[in-house]
Amino acid sequence: MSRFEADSRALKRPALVLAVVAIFAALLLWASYTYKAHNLSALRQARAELDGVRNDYQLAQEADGILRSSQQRYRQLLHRGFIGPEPRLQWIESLRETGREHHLYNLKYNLRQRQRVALSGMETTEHYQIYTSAMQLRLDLAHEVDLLRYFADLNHRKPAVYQIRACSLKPTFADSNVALDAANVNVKCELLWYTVDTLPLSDASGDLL
Amino acid sequence: MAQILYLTGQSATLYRTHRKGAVALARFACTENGYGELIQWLKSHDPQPLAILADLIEEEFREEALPHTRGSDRTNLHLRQAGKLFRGTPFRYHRVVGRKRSGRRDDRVLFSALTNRDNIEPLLNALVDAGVAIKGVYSLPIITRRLLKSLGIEYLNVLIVTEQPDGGLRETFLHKGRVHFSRLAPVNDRSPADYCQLVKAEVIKTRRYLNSLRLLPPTESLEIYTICDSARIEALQAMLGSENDLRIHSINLSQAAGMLGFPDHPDMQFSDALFCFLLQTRITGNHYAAPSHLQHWQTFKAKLGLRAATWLLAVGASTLSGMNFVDGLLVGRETGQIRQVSAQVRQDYQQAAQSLPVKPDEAAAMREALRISDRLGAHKVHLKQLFSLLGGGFTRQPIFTMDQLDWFVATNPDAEEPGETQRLDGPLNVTDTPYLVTLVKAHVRRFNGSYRQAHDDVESLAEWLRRQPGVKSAEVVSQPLNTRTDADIQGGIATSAQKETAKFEIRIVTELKHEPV
Repeated sequence: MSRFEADSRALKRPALVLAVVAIFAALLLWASYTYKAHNLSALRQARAELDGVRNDYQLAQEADGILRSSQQRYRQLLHRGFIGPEPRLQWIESLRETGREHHLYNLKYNLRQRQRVALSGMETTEHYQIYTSAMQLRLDLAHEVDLLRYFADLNHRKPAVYQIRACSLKPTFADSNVALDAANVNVKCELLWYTVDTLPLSDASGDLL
Repeated sequence: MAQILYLTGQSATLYRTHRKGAVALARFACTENGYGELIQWLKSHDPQPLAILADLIEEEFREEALPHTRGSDRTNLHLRQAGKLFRGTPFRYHRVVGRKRSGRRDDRVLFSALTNRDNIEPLLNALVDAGVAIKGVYSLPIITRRLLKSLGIEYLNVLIVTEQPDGGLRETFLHKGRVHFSRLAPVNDRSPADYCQLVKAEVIKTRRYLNSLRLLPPTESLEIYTICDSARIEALQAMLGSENDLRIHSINLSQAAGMLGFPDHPDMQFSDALFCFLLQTRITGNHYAAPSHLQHWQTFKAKLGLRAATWLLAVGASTLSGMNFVDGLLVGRETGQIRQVSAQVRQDYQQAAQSLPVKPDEAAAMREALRISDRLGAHKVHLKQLFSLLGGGFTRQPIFTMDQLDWFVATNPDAEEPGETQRLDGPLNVTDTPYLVTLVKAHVRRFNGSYRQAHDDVESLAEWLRRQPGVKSAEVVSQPLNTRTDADIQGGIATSAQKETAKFEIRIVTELKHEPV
């Protein structure tokens, strides 16, 4: 008695109507979703544009202040060769001249090839890529105080931005047998010379001013 | 609203039921002409599905014990048994009413059938031919059980007696709330007193019959409920006053109808309207109609389903699409507003940029270069301070001579080497180096062999260093004599020609101040 018997001819018309309505409904839904998605995409794009323009405007407002507060220091950095291609010749000349002036008994250096650097906490930079070149420096000094003088003079010349990472200082004399006309202290130091250069796609350049 | 055709042997009464009652619309004779009139009547009104409530004299009930089965096996078994019991009619019904407690624990199945197919088949054929949707053919005795709960009847064995139109006294026996047997006795229109005598006689006859069928053990009592009008109730009560052997309870029909939710039932003896109302109070599955009789009803339901689905789809899709279009419009409007703001800001930017000697981007680049420079030169090593510190210490302890001095910048005070630059998967990674680690290797000049004294002097030097400003720690890495319990000690007393040595190492950690370049 649970068998289902229905007049299929009588059901043909409502089934057809249902099919047509289903097709229209699907089309309507597709059109409405497409319209909404298109407008949402345009909205996202407009928001991104607005954010970009706002950033530019904010930058323009800040630029004046930046120029007033940082222009002088920027010029100094530029002069020291921190910005732009590595001034290796300038570095070597500074080292040699300083050594010559301090009458070092021996000065040897080994400057390695340049490498890209990411500073921790500043992994991404907008305008510049940071580079470093490691240098090993060997000095033979009459007295350890000469080392202080050497680096003080090097700082005074401001050849670049560098960082002394490590040093090893070893007296070569035994107890009180200090030589008056020879090196008494051997020094090995490791330095890092830093420069920044413009990123390929950036408009910023080393010769801003 | 439902349309119910109450069918007796002689007539078919069309009822329209609603939530609060049932109204008789028209009555037709059970003849070819009568069926024609009925179809005419139905066609001239709103076409609605029709339920047929059969109150026929030739309705038989049998109870059988069959093996307990489930699912389609049960259905097939019961259909086969129903076919055996009632060979001459297709209007058969079966229902499990209980299960035996002993033996195989067989199912107790109630079979019933409208044994005279001529009572109903011509009507059904006429209706099917006319395209009337028949919801089902229902048995009046089977739906009688619905009275029990509403009337508060809780006895084990109950016989409900009602008077039906066209001269019938319906007696339905229920055991534990389930219908087991029913019979329709002919009754002529009589006075209340005659009615009482008839009821008494029929009840006694029915009871004997139930005893003979073993449906009611002779020892068990039978509660008899007669549902009739006020006049018959009075007569019954008068009769019951003198005879106590029958347990007859009389219920007023209109009151009973009121208790069932049919408040406007007239005070009359016939309960056909009440049963029609009772049928529509719950969704009831078809009892007797064959699938071919229900064809128009199934079609009607399928059509209804398809139409409902069509409407649902149309409304749902329109609503969702409408919401999407409105959302899209709002989003479009917001986009337009944002673009206007962008244009304004761009204009402001161009004006601001024109007044600057450099492009804003270049200023930002300038700032970035300075930040990098500041960061690189933040922790500068001041050699003068380091040399002053060590010079001070060794001046205080002139017995020490320095053999080697190593120092390096470090990220943490426990670092063993200047390992702060590390290559990851891209460029060299340079971390902050706020500590200066210094390792001083020295020995005791002109050591006299007193290690205790040497240790005290070395400790004294380390202690002095620790107290100096900027020094985070100063620890003796190795003493002149290694007295640690996890190391071996070798040595002896040296001769004057042999020189004893007392070398040691101190590790000093100082903090580098954060200072702008």
